[in-house]
Amino acid sequence: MSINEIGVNVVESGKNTLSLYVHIPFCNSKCNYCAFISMVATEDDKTRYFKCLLEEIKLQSKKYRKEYTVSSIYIGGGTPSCLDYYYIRDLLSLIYKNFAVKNTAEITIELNPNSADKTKIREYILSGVNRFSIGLQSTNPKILKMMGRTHTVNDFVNTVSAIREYGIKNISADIIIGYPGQKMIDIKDTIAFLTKLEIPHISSYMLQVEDGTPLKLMVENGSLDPADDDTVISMYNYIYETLAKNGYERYEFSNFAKPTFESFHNSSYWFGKDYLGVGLAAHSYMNGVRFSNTENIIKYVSSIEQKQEIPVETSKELTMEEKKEEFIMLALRTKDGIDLAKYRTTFNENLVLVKKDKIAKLIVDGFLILTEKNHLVCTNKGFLVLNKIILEIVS
Amino acid sequence: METKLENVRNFSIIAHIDHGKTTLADRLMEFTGTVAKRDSKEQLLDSMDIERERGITIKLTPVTMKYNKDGKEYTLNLIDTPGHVDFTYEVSRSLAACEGALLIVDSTQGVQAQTLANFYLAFENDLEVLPVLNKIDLPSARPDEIKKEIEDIIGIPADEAPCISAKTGLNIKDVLDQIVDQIPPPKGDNDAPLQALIFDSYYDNYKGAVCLVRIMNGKVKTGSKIKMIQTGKEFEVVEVGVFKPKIERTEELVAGDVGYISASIKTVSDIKVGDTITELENQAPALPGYRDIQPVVYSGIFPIDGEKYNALKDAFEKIKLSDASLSFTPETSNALGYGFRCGFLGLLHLEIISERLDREFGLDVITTMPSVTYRVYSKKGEMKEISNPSDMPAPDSIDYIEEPYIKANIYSPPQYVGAIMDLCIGKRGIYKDMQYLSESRVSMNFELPLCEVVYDFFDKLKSSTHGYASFDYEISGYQKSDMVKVDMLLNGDPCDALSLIAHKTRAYERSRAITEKLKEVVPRQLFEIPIQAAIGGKIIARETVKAMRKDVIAKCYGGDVTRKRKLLEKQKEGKKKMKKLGSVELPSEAFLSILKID
Repeated sequence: MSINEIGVNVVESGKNTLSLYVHIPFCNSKCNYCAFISMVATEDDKTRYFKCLLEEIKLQSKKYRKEYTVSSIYIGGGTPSCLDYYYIRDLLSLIYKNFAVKNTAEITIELNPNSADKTKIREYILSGVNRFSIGLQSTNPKILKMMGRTHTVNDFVNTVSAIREYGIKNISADIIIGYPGQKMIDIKDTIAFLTKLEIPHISSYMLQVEDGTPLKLMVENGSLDPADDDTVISMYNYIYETLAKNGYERYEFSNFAKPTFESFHNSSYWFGKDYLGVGLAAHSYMNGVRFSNTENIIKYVSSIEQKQEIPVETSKELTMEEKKEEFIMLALRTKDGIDLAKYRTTFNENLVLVKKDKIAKLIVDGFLILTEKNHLVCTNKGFLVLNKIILEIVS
Repeated sequence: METKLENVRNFSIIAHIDHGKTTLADRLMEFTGTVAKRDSKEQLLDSMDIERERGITIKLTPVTMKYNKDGKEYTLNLIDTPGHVDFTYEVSRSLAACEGALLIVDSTQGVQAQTLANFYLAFENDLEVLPVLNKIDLPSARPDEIKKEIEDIIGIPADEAPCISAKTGLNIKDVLDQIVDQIPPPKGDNDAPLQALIFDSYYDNYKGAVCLVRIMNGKVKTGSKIKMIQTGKEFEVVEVGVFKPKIERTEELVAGDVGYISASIKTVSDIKVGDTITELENQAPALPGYRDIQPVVYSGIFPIDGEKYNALKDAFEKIKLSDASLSFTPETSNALGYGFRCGFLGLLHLEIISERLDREFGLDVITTMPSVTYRVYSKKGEMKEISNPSDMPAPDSIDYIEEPYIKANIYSPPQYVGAIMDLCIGKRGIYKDMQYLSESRVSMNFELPLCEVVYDFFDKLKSSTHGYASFDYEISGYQKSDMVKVDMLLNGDPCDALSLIAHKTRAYERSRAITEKLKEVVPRQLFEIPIQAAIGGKIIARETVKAMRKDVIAKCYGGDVTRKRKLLEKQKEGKKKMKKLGSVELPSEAFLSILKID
């Protein structure tokens, strides 16, 4: 099923493309490690938020619809699937009315394994969703419980088969590594489970203990010990090696995909493409300007309801130097690394010449390689200390 | 109008930290009408931020107050004193300008740490000490117990001690009355040749360097031709006056007065604390107790940003205007580039200077291992004074080395004698003698190597005697000693800025401590960094900073890009503050942290 078949895409295409991110800041319950802007809310609050969200999309559409065609949509959160399906249906249909959306656009929604039943999934697909990102996190029930997750492994299996029933193969699973108490055997189980289920895309995130989370409190008061670096590294290396053997490619530091299953939307972040974020706390990068909406839901709602204004909280036009730094910092996360030719045409500067000694040393020390195609790419050792590598190159 | 000597009282206030010295001084000024209540805040003990934060006062601001008692008007001069051993000499000169001291004791806490140490200093200067019980308004005040404590521990009568609340102003009059009744008036002869004791100086942008003085004999006024006896320098007085507490010009200063003399003096370096000012035409002998204060500890100070060398030089020149005890000469280090070799009165002084460089001049600096001055005798029989480990000649050319020793005098309650003995012997001290001054007071004498004292001796002494001991010292001369130079190597490269001179018996222990400390403070880098200490070519201690293995942001989507940017900016800032030694990056804190190692 494609958008044209639904017959709602009525806007004329712009010559540039953008990736559209929609933030749904609601969950049925908060996980212990989560620092994203999300909350447990009443139905009235959700309805009110959605009205504003749709209003924001209309406001943005006035600004951008002429110049841009939407090449991907990502509905993230929070847990978008905790809402009734018609919210998503109305959301997507409003987007199609207000933006030109490519026929081939990748349209992703984030799901929790126990929050989307068959009906919801069917409705999502009918509304145009063609990629599902499911938060599995772990296959060990004990770890799931510690994380504050309320689903089971079976929920995940059922969700996947429901999606597949409608012919959608493009499914991604998120997993966390390095959670306190997690063992190598858990990682092995999880990876075996996912490869056996032939999930074609896996995002594997090293746990970050974020400020303001229950997890942080538990670590600080000593009731939980975070995994040590060596454990996390060996878990990560296991995943990388095992997935490689199973035909997955690490196309970004935390993202593994079978051929053709790379996330187009996420890649746009790393390639410095334009993206527009709508909703609470959403970030955008348009025409060299990074801006973000307020993280305060009351401010967000009142600004749109009362003033029909998008509550932009921060906005920064990047300098040439910052653009260079971001290019390096984002490209090095990907399998193709820094395309030196592209860097040169973009910035009219030969990076390897400018940073000769530093880059040479990083290559000699085994953190970077220079490929035949003239790309500067991280080795596995380099990936693990990426912050330092970036700092070395840009300072 | 001339004030008769018998109507003058010169006194200081000594107290443990937080026992209410500043508040009492404010109340005294208010009560005597010296300042109005509303602007009394910070008038008296106003000084640099650093002093306030550390709870010590380095600069002393005197104040003159008028007080009427029994129909007579008295002039009360309050001279404040700092309280750190680095500045003991300055304190002693301030006390020498007084006849009495108020000893403030917190009536909820009793005799504390510094109370006793401060008392000893006053006692040594023959001052009449008046105990005052403060904070009497608090429900937990125990005046009777504390009075007994003062008598038992300090050994002075406390029966009549005023019980006051500096906070509420209760019984301030009692304090003033006792000052008048109990502190003897200064002695002195207005008609004798001028003898003015310099107890401090300060720098004023308009007046230049100004002397703070106590006139012991004679008079001084505008136009007087004066001479500083110790320096031999001659000046013509431009202005004299007193502090109320703002400066107030007066006709003249006479015997017994406390005030200032301004005489177009260019820098405070021309004014030596403890020196005597006399008349050029009618010279008097010098007052006793003068000491030429020399730096006792030397350290290299280098700008982190090599281009800030000239800015650092300007900063030192400006600081020198108001701080005569600082000395600096250019120095070059293979690791740190161009900087200065600086001399300080002690480690606290060193810390204050490096903080002032940061706060007042915005300069990030690196401070190298402090060192005292050694005398190195070569086999050819030549002697070279060395205060910089990098200047140490090759071991095989050295015949022997001498190190400076001090004569240390420690006052303490008798129960800490054992602890003090252990501490001093542990610092290679030689016990000289001990005297029981009273049941509650012992005086102990030691000879100690200066280099053992400059690091943390005073802190150790305070902690091992719960702060009850006081400590004073003077350089006693040089003694032959088994000193060695320890080189520190980072990633195999010697780092001159970290090398040190140590006594052979202590070299191993110190090297271990330094390598261990460096291991903590050297941030992990992309490669493993061995940290080694070596004497000659022999490695005596080694630690390894493991390579950084994981430093990566797991997620980098929409909003994370901004977060990652911010992190990168922060890291770049941090990196700018690092000093690159060979291939190793060191934060300036690394240098500071090893200063604190015993």
